[in-house]
Amino acid sequence: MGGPRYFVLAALLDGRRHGYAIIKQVEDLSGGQVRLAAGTLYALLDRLAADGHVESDGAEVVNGRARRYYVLTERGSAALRQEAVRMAAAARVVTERVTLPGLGQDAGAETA
Amino acid sequence: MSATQRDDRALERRYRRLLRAYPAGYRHERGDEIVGTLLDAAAPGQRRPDPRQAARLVMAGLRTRAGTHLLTAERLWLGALRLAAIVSLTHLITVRIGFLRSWVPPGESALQWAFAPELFQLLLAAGALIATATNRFRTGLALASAALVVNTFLGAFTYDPFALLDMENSAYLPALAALAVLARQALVRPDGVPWWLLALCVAPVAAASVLLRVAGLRMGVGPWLLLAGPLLLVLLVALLRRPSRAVRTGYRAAAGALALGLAVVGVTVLASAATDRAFVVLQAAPLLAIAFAFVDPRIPLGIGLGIAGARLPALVELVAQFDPEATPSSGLLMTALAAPAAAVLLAVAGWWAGRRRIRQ
Repeated sequence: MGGPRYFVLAALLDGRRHGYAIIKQVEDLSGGQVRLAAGTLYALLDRLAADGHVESDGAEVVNGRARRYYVLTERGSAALRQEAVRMAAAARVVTERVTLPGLGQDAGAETA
Repeated sequence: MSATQRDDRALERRYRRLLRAYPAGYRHERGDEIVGTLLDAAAPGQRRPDPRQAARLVMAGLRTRAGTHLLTAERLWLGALRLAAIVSLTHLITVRIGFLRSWVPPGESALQWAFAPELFQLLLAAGALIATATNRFRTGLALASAALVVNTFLGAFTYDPFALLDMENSAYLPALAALAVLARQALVRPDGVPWWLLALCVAPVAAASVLLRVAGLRMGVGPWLLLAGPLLLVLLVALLRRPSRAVRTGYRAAAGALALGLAVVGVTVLASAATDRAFVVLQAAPLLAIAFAFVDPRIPLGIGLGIAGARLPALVELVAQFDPEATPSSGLLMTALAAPAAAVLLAVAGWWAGRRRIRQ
């Protein structure tokens, strides 16, 4: 699962969001590392919907602007959790053996 | 109307203009929502689209038009194989049409040659092309195999036993290999490649042909006959039936792919007599195809596989016959080096772009 795809699914973990709210949430969650353009976001949402990972959950017009909301499906939630477990396992391969800058202590000692 | 509203209107109008990169149906369904998100993301007082947003919007729109926004690894490879089969068969057919003319002796009626095995082979290959273009791969494989049998029969009487390695016949190898894989796919059918994308890739080759005409080189009617063949085939498909939606998609792909097949033939035909200027323009074709890799990676991957499959056996034969005493002609160098190199480059660019698309 690519980074943008992972963060879009993670952005929907707390509940339904519309396009711009997803973009903002992805930026926050990734610490500004993933900044989605609208074109990229909608292509991603199309693919996630085709895979059954997200679905549309109503639309409304706010201040004259159309908004459609998206929610995570059970399948999407399962895929996200699976990816998180996979990445955590991959991270442990390193953090159990070396001290990473920024963590302030031996990550291996913490997890042992 | 306040200044803020005026700014919003101006920005919305400009974003809607960019939204034309998407197909009309998609625009109708999602256009307002996408514009709403773009306006939400805009800075206060912003009147012009952000260049990054604009570029991504146009790219996403073109990918949606090409049908590659939902690309999977399986569809990438199947689409590329389908294109490789179409390009190879087009190459075979156009070369055969060129041969057919030389088979009719001067002063004799072409009609009495109508049942010649050469013509039979041509018709079988044409049938294989139509079947492939309309996603009937088992029929395509059967007809292409039959054409190869006739070709081998002809070869036994007319040319050497290694005729399959000839420049004219080696396209059978990628065509049959691609069709053999496609014929095994019972469930997933590859999607068509939009004609406008393929036509854009062919434009440099057409420009090269014009350049050659302007340069005053005498090419004879051969290249024009090669052009007429695929066009007649496309016309035949269009006239034979009122196509279903799936077939229309295949037909659109075939029309573009036929034009791209001409690009391959164009390189072969023109290589022996081209000027350096024309070569420069011809080289623009693979470069352009690579540029389109990010919109539709099936194009460079499919064409690369098709050309590489057809050219590499010819390259092996050329290397085997290489004479270090003789100065190689520009046509020979083109065939030996440039065409296989361009093919490999195309295939790698398509594969890489496809991987990127799928991972996103």
